[in-house]
Amino acid sequence: VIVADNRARGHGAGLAVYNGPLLQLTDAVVRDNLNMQGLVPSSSTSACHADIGGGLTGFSGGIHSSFNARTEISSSAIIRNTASDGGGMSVFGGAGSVLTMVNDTVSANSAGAQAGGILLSGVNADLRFNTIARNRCGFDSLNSLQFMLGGGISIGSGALSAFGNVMAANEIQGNSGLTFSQDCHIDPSVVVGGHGFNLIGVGGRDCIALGNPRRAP
Amino acid sequence: LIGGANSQALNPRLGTLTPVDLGARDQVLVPQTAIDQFNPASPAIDAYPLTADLPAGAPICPTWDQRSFLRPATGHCDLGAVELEGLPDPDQDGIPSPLDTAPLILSDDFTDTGLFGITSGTIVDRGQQFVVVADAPSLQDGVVVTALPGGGSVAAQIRACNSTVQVALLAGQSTTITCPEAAHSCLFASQALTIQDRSDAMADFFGGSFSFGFDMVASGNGFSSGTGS
Repeated sequence: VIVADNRARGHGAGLAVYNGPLLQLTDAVVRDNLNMQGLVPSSSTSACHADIGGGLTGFSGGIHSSFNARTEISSSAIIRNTASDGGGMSVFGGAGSVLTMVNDTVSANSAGAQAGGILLSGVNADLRFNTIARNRCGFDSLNSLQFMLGGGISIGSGALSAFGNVMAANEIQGNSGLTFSQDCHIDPSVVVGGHGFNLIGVGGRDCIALGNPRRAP
Repeated sequence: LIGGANSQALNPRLGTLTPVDLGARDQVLVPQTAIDQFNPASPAIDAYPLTADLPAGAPICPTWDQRSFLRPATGHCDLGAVELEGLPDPDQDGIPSPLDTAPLILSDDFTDTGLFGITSGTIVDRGQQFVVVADAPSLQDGVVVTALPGGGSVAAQIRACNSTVQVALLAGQSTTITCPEAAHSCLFASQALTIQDRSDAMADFFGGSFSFGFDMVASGNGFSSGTGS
């Protein structure tokens, strides 16, 4: 399955699924979907440099899963999508909502404010052996650090288990050129369960608990 | 594996996405091998612990990576969605393409004739096991059959060497089969291995070690490795 080159104003330019029992993607490519209005950034330059003037309209350029009981994404590529928050994908849920991601590549996505790659809220997320790299966020936030969170992944609430992932080379880049590395933002309210053996590019306050301070034997 | 502050961010040393419109199995960031002292190998390579070393609650790595390449059954897995040294197994039958004689029909047959060997066999019944077949390392002839950890209680049944060898594997067990000498080495003493010799006699072995020769009806009380013809 390839979901590509879609444009939307709202949630989930590529794919949006609400209130269902299951959203399941395997061997899928979700790429080059754009959730914004106004200027479309050139494909040859990062969306971080586009002067879009607040034109972003909603969550997720690629996939938006909202209050589905289960969201399962495996062996898929979520790449080069753009949105206001959750450039690659966003998953929102309530009690019992589960997200499982295994063997996925989430890369080259951009968000105006937070979560260049993945935005999660209220779900029990189980991330295993994913590569979440080279995503960017913050290009439309007027350099307010309050809203520039999670170059790779931002988790506002819920629970997280993470093993064997690469979360690295993600950036926050403001529209004045301010750039720094941040791979993940995890709100203190998030319940961090089983974790370890993740490659984290920047061991900041939010991410450090997920990695492992020594190389595996 | 954690980087330091912003200025010391850990470089994952990954390749780039392909610009062409390919499927999900091609849209990956491959960890890079070392080029020189200034361009070391990706720290993601072989960084996941061996199964025996995993702490409680940590999962074993998936059988395949995003590209449907087999991850190592007994070695270190790479972090992330790509197993750099994995072998392609597009039909996900656990048999890598070089050994898979009929990949389009999800065959359970395997042979290493394409890798200079003469060993062949069939996964007769996978039982409740995740069976992986690979060419035997360091052997010109031979195939390693492994039931990955995590399988159920029903053993996988493997037949090889013109049905002169029958092997039952439970989760976590592995055997090396080489047909020319009907030689077998089992890595786990608890493994049940049945060998049918040329007198059609059957023998079961559990633990210990033995060897037997032509037409010998082996009644040994143990097995961990042996050769026969």
